Parts: sequence; C-alpha cells; structure tokens
Amino acid sequence: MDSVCVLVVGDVLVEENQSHSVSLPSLMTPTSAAGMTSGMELPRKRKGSMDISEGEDSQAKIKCFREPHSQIEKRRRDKMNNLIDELSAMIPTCNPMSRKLDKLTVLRMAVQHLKSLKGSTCSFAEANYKPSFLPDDELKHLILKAADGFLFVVGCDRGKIVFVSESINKTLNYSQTELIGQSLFDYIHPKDMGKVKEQLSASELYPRERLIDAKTGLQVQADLPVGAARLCPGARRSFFCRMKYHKISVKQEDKEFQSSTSKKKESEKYCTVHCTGYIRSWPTSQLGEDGGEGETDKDSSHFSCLVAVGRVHLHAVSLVNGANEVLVKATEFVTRYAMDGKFTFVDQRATTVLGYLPQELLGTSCYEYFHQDDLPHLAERHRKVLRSKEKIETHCYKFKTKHGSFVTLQSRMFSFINPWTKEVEYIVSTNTVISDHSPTDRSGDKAEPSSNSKASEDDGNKSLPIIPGISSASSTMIYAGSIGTQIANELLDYNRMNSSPSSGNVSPFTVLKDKSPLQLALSSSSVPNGEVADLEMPGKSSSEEGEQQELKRPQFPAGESLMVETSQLDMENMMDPGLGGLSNDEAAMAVIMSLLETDADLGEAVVMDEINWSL
Amino acid sequence: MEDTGGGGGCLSGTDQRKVRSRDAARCRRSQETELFYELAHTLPLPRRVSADLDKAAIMRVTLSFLRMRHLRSGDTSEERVTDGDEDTMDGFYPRALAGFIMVMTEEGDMIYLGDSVDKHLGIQQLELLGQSVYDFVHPCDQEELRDLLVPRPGVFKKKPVQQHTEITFFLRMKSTLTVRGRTVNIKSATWKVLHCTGHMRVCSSDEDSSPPAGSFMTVLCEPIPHPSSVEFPLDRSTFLTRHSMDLRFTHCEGRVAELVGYEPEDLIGKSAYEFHHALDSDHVTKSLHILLSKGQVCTSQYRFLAKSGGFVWAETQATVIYNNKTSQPEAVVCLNFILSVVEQADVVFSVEQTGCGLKSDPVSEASEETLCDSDNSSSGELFQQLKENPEDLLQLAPVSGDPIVPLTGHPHTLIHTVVLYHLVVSVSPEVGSLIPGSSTKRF
Repeated sequence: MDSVCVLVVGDVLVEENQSHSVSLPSLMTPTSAAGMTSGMELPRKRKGSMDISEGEDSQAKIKCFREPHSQIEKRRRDKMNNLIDELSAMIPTCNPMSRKLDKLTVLRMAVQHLKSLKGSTCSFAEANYKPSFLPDDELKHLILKAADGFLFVVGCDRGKIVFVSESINKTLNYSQTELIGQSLFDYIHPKDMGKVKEQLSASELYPRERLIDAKTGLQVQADLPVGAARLCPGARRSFFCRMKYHKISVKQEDKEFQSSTSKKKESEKYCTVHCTGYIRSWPTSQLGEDGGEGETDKDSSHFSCLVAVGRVHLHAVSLVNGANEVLVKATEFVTRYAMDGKFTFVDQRATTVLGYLPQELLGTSCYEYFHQDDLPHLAERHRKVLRSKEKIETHCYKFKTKHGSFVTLQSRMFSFINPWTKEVEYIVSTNTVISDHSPTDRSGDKAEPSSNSKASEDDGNKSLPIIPGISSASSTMIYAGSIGTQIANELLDYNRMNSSPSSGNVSPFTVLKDKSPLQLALSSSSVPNGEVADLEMPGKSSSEEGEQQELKRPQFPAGESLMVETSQLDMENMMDPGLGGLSNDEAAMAVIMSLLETDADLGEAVVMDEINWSL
Repeated sequence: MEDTGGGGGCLSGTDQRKVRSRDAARCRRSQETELFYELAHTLPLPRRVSADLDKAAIMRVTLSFLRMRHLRSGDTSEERVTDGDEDTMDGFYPRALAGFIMVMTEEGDMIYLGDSVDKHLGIQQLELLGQSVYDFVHPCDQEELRDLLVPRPGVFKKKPVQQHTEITFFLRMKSTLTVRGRTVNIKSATWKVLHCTGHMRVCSSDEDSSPPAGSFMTVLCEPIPHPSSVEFPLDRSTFLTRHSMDLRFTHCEGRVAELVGYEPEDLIGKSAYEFHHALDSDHVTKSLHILLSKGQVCTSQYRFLAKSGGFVWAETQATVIYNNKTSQPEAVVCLNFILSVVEQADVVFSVEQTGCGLKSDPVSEASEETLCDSDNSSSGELFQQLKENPEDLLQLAPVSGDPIVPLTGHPHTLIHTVVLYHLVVSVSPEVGSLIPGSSTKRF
C-alpha cells in the first residue's frame, strides 16, 4: 500500500530502481529454476539483494521481490518437508507406521533415536571424547576403503618404524608386529633410500616450493635459505618410494619346495607407494610410554617423526609385471609412426616377431617392409588414419622380417592429434600377428611363438654386425618410403591450403575422402618417377610443383581410371625388386633390372624429396 | 503479520478464532524450534557448533549422520580388530592425507566430508554436509559425476555388479581459497581440481533395518598442488618442466640429467608426446584431455623414455598456467616424479633414443621451427593463426563442452571467461546445449 505513495513521490528514483531490479530477478530466476540451490544459500542470496535496494528504496523492493520471495519460501518449505520425509524413512520407529507422520512427531522420534544411538555407542559417553561427526576409527575405515593405504610413523633421525597400521597387511602383506621397531630403510628400494632420507631429514632439500610465481606465472629462482624450519612440526611431505612387497602366496608354497629361490624372488618385489603426511614431534616422555625406548632419545626433549599414509598405486601391478609383459603377449607389438610412416617408436616385442632390433626399424619407413600386394591397401589406410579420429583397422598384410620371410600382421591404428595445434603428432599402431597357415588352427598360434624365439636367437647372432636395414635395402627402398612421404605431404599441403580459420577440422577431411582415389593415383604415380617412360612426366610434375597439384588436378579426371591402373602396375614393377625379391625368380630378375635402372635416377629422386619439403 | 497481535479487548468470533489459531501456530512453531535444537544437541558435535546451525542445516546434518550410520552398519562383514595402539593412531589419518574423504549417495548428497575439507576448499564441513554435491561441482563435470554415481545401463557394456568398483576421476569443485591463501566469498569461488579415487559400493538393506538400499561412493579427494604453492619439499627424483600449450618443452630443470639422462637442451623444443612408451598412449592421451579441459591433471604411472634407451616410470602433475592479464592459457607446468631408475636401458624404443634424433624427419623439423621461431611461417600457419586469435584456442579445446576455467581468482579473470564462454557457445551450438545455465550459475 505504502509503495504507491513512494512511487508518486520519488518518480525518478523508482524508475532507476526498477531498471536496477529488473536485472536482479533475471539473475535470480535461473538459479531458482535450476531448483538445486540449497536452503542455506537461498536466504543468504535474498538478503544480499535486499540490502542493495534497501539503501535506496525499501518499498519498491517489496513489490519487485514479492513474487520470487513467495516462491523461495514455498521451495524452502517443500525442501524441509522432503527432508522430514527422508528423516522419517531413516528412523526405525517411524517406519512401521503406514500413515504419514506430522513434522513434530518425526522430529521427536528423531531425537529419541539419536539419543538411543548415543547411549549404545560407548565412544559417545567417554569423558575424553572429542565430539566429531565421525569417530576416528570409522574415518580410518572410510579412508582405507577409498584408498588402499596404511598409516606409518617413522622416526626422523634413524628411520625407525614407530608405528604401522594393521592395514599394511592388505597392501604390502606384512604383519604389523613384523615391522614395528624395524628400520624403514630395510623395506625401501636401495635406490630410493637417499630420497627417503632427504624427506626425513629435510636438511639437503632444495627450497623449491615456490616453483612459479602466482602472479606472473614465471619461474622463480628460490634462494631463501632453509634450515631447521623444514623439520618444524606440521611441515607437509609428499613423495613416492618403492617398498618391498611381501608375497604371501609365494612364501607359503615355496617353503617346502624351493625356499632358497623364493627368497631371491621375494627380494625383488617392490611396489610404488605414494606417501603423504607431515612431520610431528612428540615429547620424549610420552614416547617412552608407548614405544618403550625412551633411552634412545634422551638427548632431545622432542622426537620428530614423519606421520604418513602410504598408498599403493593402482598401476603398481604393471610396474611389477613390466618385464613379463613381453613374454606373455609376444604376438602383439606397438609401434609409433611419424606422419609419413617412418618408425619413431618400436616396442621391443617387435624384435621377437620381426627379427629387427628397434633401432634397425626406427627412422625407416614402414613401407619398406610391406609386401607389394598390400601397398595400395595400406596406403589407403594410412591416408584414412591421418584424417580420422577413429581407430582404423587394416586387413591382414605381409610384413617382411629380417630374414626375408613375411609375417602376416593386422594393425589397429589411430593418429594422435595434438589437441592444441590440431596437427597430427604421430600414428600409433597396435600390430597383431595373424597365424599364416589357417586361422582356425589353434596349433598355428602355438607354432608362432616358437618360431619367434628362434628368430630372436638368430637375431642375436646375425644382426649385430650388420648395421641397420637401410644400408642393406639400399636405393630401391627410398621409393617405397616415399609413399608415406607423399601421403604426409598431401595432408600438409591440404592443411596449408585450407588454413583459413573458418575451416573446421571436419570439412577438409570429408572433402579429402571424396578425392582420395584420385590422390592415390597421383601419389603413387609420383613414386616411381623416372622409371617408366610413360609416367615420367605426370609423376614429376605432380611432385615438383606440389602446390600446383591442386590446379593440375582438373586435367586428370578424364584419365583417372587409366591412371590408377597404370600406376599400380608400375608400382608392382618397382616394388618387386625390393620386397618380393627373395620369394620368386621373376622378382629376382626385376631386382637387377630395377637396380640398373634406378641407379641413374637415384640422385634425382633425393633432390625431389627435398623440393617437396621446402614447399 | 504478527505485529497486529497482542491487542486484547473484546473480539468478534472470527477474530477470536484467528487469535486462537495464531496462538496454536505459534505454540507449534516454538515446539518445533525447541525440537530442532534438541535434535541439534543430540548430534555428535561440539555444543557451540550445534547451537549455530539453522533448521535446514540441522536436518541436513542429522540425515547425513543417520545415513552414515546406516552405511557403516552394512559394513559389519569386515572384521574389525582394534587394539589400543591402533586407536590412538587413528586420529592421524585425516591429517596425514593430502586431501579429504567424501561420501556421496546416488543422488549426489554429500553425507560425509572430512573436516579438513575447509583446508582444501575453504568451505566448512557443516556447510557442506547433506548438501547436493552438484551445487558445488563445475557444470561441465556434473554429467560425468552423475554417470559415475548412477551408471546408465547403456553406457557400460557389462553392468558393474561388483560390490566394490574402483573409480578414479577428476572433479572441479568450488573453492573459496585463492592460490595465495586468501579466502573469498562463496559467490566468487573459483574451481579447484580434485583428484578423486575411491570405490562405489552397494549397501544392501537388511530385513530389519528400514532404510532403503542404495549405493554410496566413497572417494578420497586430493587437490593437485598448484606449482606456485607446493606445500611439500620436492626431493631429488622430481623435476619441473614447463611446456607451451602444445606440450613442447620450453624449460626443464637440470635435474632431469641425472634422472632420465637428457640435458635440458635435448628436450627444449621437442614435443613431450614423443617421450612416453606407446603402450601408455591411451592413458597419456586421456590425461592430456583432462588437463586441457579442466586445467590440472595428475597421471598415474607411465613410462618416460630415457635418453639412450630404456625408460623410467614416472608420474606427472600438470597444471595449465594462465596469463595474468589476458587470462589465456599460456603454458603447462609439470611436476614430474620419477619413480624408478632406467629400466631396460639396452632397449631402444624411439627415434629420439637412437641419437640421430629427428634430423632425418622433415615433418617434425618443420613444426619444430615454427615453435622455436614464432615468426617463421611454414607448415604451422594454422598454429600461427591460432596464436594470434587466442579465442580460437578455446574452441579447439579437446572436449569442447568444457571451458578452461582459470584457477586464479582475479575478478577480471572471471569476467573475461564469461565473454569467452559465450563465444564458445555461439561458435558451436552443441556445446551450448551441453552446459545449460552454467554461466549464470557461476556468476
């Protein structure tokens, strides 16, 4: 009622207020619509917004806020009623009654229930009981549930284990009594001892807490001197160390059979433990009570300890089994290629499958090892994987091993795209050995590893003196490798041409997919340049004038099908010498032929490569 | 309403009825209030704390307390042997942890939080108890959390029927603590990335106990230390690296030499992506996406390739650093914890390790150039363009639904993010639909 008068009197003022208040409800309503705001927060918000307007005009505010306010009130009541309902569901005495209880009854019963709980739990009644929402031992159980860990207290001076919780039984398989009183260092990996000592003593630690400045984001060269301050009570600690893992099963079984060997094995089992905690100091007198060793610390009145929770990390298993992995899955290996198909990473398991040492493969193009029959397919997959975020699976293909034979592989590849630059960093490929003889035959699988092991043995004898595969493959291989280079170039060229900001990352790929048959033709035709007279000209032009490739393309479509055919034919001619050479006689002839032919062109081909890259 | 009461005299019938009902209501209210405070006092809380709670808070805390009891009572299967020594030591757990414990129901009610939560988030335990976790979680992380709490049948192929299911995820929660240790109002709270590890467990309801069965998530939430305020001293098996946003090394502590064999010069300019074992690709890629979408991440163990062969096991805590003026992501700072010595030192894995490096590899050489020499334009023109229009960078964040939220709490920073936020929404409509009302909620 009063608000009307004010409206008349302070015309301008109210107008201002209204414009002001319009914005406020608009801020308020979305939150209320979300319906998730808590009972605690809302009144506070309301109060805050009231304060703003109160200073200026309290009446206008009531008018504007009446609507949301009543809604707020209603929501608050609803929420409270919900809480009451939930509460009644939690209280055993409320539950048997089928009818809905009124608020007061529920509350009364809740009080009764809580009081009875209080009575039953002895910890509540204890005199020294510090009231907290959850008793310490319950909290401990929660912590142990959330993270497999154990609490330990270690003296800072000698690393003596003053206390270790029982849960170490679950994590490291020691019994509590086994460890208490021992030196922590007996259970730490020898290489980590220095590190742990540092953490306990803290005297040699570098003062590097402030690694970067919060304001500038730049590195700070910390130069404050550190002294005993680091050992002061409450100083935090967080570090990783490897601790001995006690394998119960091994111990029990092997006691009868081979106790000597088992001991050896046991000593090698370590798992990584993440320790977080703080330095705490106890008065020596108190320590004497529960530790029973007051005489050791007579000199100092306080005994510094590290109180820490050690948590065994999830991946610890893989750390332990890291070496075994190789033996278990010898039919699979992982490689990483640069965009152009050059090996940049080779898993050592490849050696058992392929016979090559990783360093022999690294830096060479994967195309040098593919069987020529598979080249079109693999080039197509290569192209596809560069443009897709999906994992791409290849058909079975033949990969030439070090000994000249072929092993059948199937690969699952994906390109890793740098999320920031959106450029392809590399291609990751998981390669699985497919049994040659018959896919259904189980024995075939078994035969594979044995041949593998043989291969690796041979490898040890043969490979070392010979220096990487590049030299042995010599000139012809450069051409095979350039297939990958061409494919990579295509993508780079394309990115360069479509680097306008408007083009997302999807559109170029879809466009390219449509064109890919043509591009295959183009790229493969440029591979054997200078080999077959018919193709020499187009091949050369496409690679020399890389950027004009796009412009020239319209000229090609007419003869596209022809191009594909001839170029593939051509590729066969060219590839045979390098790859199939050892498998049949015709190819052997072709090796000699092509070597004779290509020697002359070798220099030129290299130059061409360079031209491509300078673009 | 109540100010008209009190006047006596003779009243009409309706007025009398009014007075009577008003008195009754008042009586009921005061009874109710009294019960509420009685309830508050029965809670296992210090008296001065319980006296300060309002009614809603009393209800929240009571409910949480009862639910926790229910949860614990379902736990009796596990044997509990506690001797005296164990008891006195139990109190050390919470402080020794570098985080706090949180228990959530399927609905997302936080029925328990360790009291150290205020040290990490700046919000008091009692303020949070019983609240919905979604009120405190970054809008873009809510979906993820919901999927974890209530697994949708379609999401997982095999139903997680197991009683205990291990979970690990990263969550951004409101924090009123700034990097520099100040406390701000909850309204201007910033987001803090918490590394949550724990279990989901189904609490079976006994026949006699009434509360319905439900599943609970118990997680340990550990904030990832911001490089500008690492509380603990770093030991000699830790080294610090700094990267550009595409993760090329731009700075490296000399300590790396004794741990992994590289001199800092060997690494600078190279992409960090080249230095992990391919078997860890999936994990590293996933961590990276979390880093770029949430601002911080810590990896689990992975294999970092050593200089001349072999690898070391490592764990990395990475943080995106934002430019103070433009509040743009500017760099990534990594704290690398090396966990082992070089293993399989005789095995060469990558081109980097062969010594000839990438010199023979023109692709990466080309991109390397652009990085070191930002004016040199070649294949990285796209990259250049992005550098000039930093807004586009946000658009390129891997999980487009997740904006990069600054961890530092400068007021202008927040405003700036709103602008960027809208930009993202306008650029890609599907992003907008993912995060309804998120901007209004935050600001």
